Amino acid sequence: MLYKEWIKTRWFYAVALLTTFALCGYVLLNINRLVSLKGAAHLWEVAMFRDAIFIDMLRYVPLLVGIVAAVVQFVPELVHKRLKLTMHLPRGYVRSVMEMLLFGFGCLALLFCGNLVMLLLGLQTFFANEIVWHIVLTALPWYLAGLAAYILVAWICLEPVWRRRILNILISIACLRVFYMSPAPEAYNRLLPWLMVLVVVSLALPLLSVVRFKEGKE
Amino acid sequence: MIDCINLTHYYGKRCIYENLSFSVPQGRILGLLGKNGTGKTTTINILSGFLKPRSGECRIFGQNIIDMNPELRRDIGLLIEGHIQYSFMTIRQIERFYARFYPQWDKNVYYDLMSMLKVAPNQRISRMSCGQRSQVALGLLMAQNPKLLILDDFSLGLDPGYRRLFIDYLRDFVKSSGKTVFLTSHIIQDMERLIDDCIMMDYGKIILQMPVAELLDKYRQYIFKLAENSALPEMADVYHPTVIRGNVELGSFLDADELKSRLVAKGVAFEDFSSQKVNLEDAFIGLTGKY
Amino acid sequence: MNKIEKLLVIVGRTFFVCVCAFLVVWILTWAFHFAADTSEKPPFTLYSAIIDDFAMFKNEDSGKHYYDAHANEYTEAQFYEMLPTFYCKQLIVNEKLPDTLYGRPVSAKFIQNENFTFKTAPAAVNKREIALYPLMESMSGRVDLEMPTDVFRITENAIEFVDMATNSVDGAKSDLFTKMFVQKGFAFPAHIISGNPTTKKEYDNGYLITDSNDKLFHLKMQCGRPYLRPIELPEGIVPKHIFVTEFRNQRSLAFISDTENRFWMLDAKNYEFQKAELPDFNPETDGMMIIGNFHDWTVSISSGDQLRYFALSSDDLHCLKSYEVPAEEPTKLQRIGNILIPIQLKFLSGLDGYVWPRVAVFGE
Repeated sequence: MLYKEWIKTRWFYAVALLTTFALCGYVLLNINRLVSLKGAAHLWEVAMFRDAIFIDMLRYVPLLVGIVAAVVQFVPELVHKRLKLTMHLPRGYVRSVMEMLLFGFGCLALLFCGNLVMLLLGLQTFFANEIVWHIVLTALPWYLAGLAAYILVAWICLEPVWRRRILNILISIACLRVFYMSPAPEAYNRLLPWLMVLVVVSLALPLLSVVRFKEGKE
Repeated sequence: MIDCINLTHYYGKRCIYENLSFSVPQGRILGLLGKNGTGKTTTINILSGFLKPRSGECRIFGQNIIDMNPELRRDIGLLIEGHIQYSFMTIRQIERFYARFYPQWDKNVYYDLMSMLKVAPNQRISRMSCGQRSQVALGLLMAQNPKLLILDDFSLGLDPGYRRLFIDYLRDFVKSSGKTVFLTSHIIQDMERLIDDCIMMDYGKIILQMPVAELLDKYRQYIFKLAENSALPEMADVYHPTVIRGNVELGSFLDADELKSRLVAKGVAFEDFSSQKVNLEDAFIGLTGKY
Repeated sequence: MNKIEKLLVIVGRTFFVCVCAFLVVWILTWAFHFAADTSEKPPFTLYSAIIDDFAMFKNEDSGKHYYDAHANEYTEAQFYEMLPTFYCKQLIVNEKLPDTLYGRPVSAKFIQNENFTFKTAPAAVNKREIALYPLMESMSGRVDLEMPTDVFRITENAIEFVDMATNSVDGAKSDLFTKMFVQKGFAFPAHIISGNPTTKKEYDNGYLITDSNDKLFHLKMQCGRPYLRPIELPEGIVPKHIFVTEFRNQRSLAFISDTENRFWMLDAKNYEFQKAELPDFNPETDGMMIIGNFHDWTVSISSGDQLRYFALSSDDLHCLKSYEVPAEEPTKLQRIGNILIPIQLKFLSGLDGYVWPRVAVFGE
């Protein structure tokens, strides 16, 4: 099963890897440039007292990557209802779809972890640990939003009935809004563990669309 | 092999059929004939497990399709309308993908067929013609070697050469190993070459289920002319009579003498009476009407 | 489907229903507040020792309105004269500033020196802080304060100074300060570290720090050397929030709110605590503003919908007068909404900077 998913998505993940790492690199280079221009002390001060995090550019990147990942993985299954081919295999169809989802989720999680590690290591050359973690903890909800977006877009794509799909889209937009409610740094510290649990539980959501697909809902 | 009992389905409020029942015996190739909208696609979708009927059940290998043990599906080969496959894969990749799921997979059969197509193993399926794609689908089915094949409109999108190729290969494959096949096609001439038995459907019910040979032997198309000022009354055992300027064309399983005597009994004056055996397509049109 | 698969589908269905219910409540709450919320700014209120009452000013459609807590009306000129310390400059321009006030001779310079404003809001208190603090040189000999090139952190067993330019620990300086901490009996790590990390003040009072035993210390840097003075806490006071003050009159070192929600002023000269005669005040849930002059302080405390004013004597902080602003009656729309939408859900709050679901039942 993973073989098929890999063939479908390997080019996307290659591009995503390059793009996201390039963007992280750009952001770090930018900080470097600011340090030369204004001095490290100035950057530390605006981080400590003016809520600056220097990586605002990355805010919606994980969200976009998550959405496109789901589209690249699941739209080919919907064209001509090809998902039927996978669902006809001699193994539980729920299991098959779950494996597809876990593949994408896993790849994205790895990619995002890579990004965060790069940011962690890069930021440590400029800032004390307290500021580095301050920035990274502020960015964590964005990456979680990317994972949530992947699951929600898969849920939308797999839904066979168009009217229901529109409802799913509206619900997804509202749910993703939760991740972007406050631009204040570390505003999500309390909520983050709960959001992580909810995102993992939401992996069961696309299964509902698949069950409806199997029943032939039009 | 296949048993459908009291199938009922609606699309919204529209009734497709009620209490439809039929069986497919082992080792036969059975074709489902019906006009668009009579429930052919519905039946195929129910059989392939992608539509839940409003009521009734369908059993394959004695098990209800809906909660069948998924492992049993290794013995069901499915061809989706249009020979749909994962066309982002190459010939080699798609064989590798499916092979892992079927313990009895025979890749030689598949590659033998592929070599006749003159395509490179690394060629993407999306870059192949419709006909070549149909052969890929057939090759995968043959490599899977299932006991039962369900083919949804195998002729769709194929030109005559590939259609003939497909039919010949399939028939040879099926007959040599006693497989059971349930199929539909919108090209009835193709069906005639391939199927042993047929089921004819017409708006909500099954008109008949019988071996094709028997159908073509017993069914007659009758043509005669009505005398002036004579009309054709309602008659039993007669299918879709059409009257155009006094010329009557109708189909029936009654033999010529039996029909003539019934006409006379009803007081119908006629002349230029002729009968003929027809091919499957004409029989189908005669039994289901032109409209 | 096997058991696990069926379970997954049930989980999915339950999750879907919960999410929908949750979204419905959230969106209804938002829509309701959007339609029904009214926000009126309270009038500007200040205690006037001259009338021994709270003087108020409101800008209304009909024009500027000057009155007091007993609904007596005043003209603009009278209003300025009732609040001579606050409108000192205006009175000077109008040549109406008296020579003596409240029994003592005053000058404009004296008044302005003694005036101060203090403000704290829950949103600022409940914010996540980065535990790095710039310690300024408080005896530089220069007029303006300068931000240092390093910041300090207090760890499990030391105080460390980190140079910002090189992002490395200044070992020598850290050792020097840590030795002083140990010498003065500081029990690492710190509980509270409070100061004002800005150069926009007249002088620097350094930091007030509590150690792991809740003992209070005053930290400054003078000529590059550490100044650390333990401050004796009166019996039963455990500081919870400390607000270091650097007012012009240099009287107070800090305002301190303790675990019993009492409000104290810490004297800068003798390190003595003076209790303010105020009701319970919790900076995490209540907002406070103090407008003070040489004679009295006007303290406003806002908690939820309640707004109260207290006039304290600036000598001993006893309460001269108090006034509670009558709470706004909920509008008809708000009352209906609170019944129709019994459970209300929001993620943000004006009291803190966190995103967290907050549930209100029947509008409470």
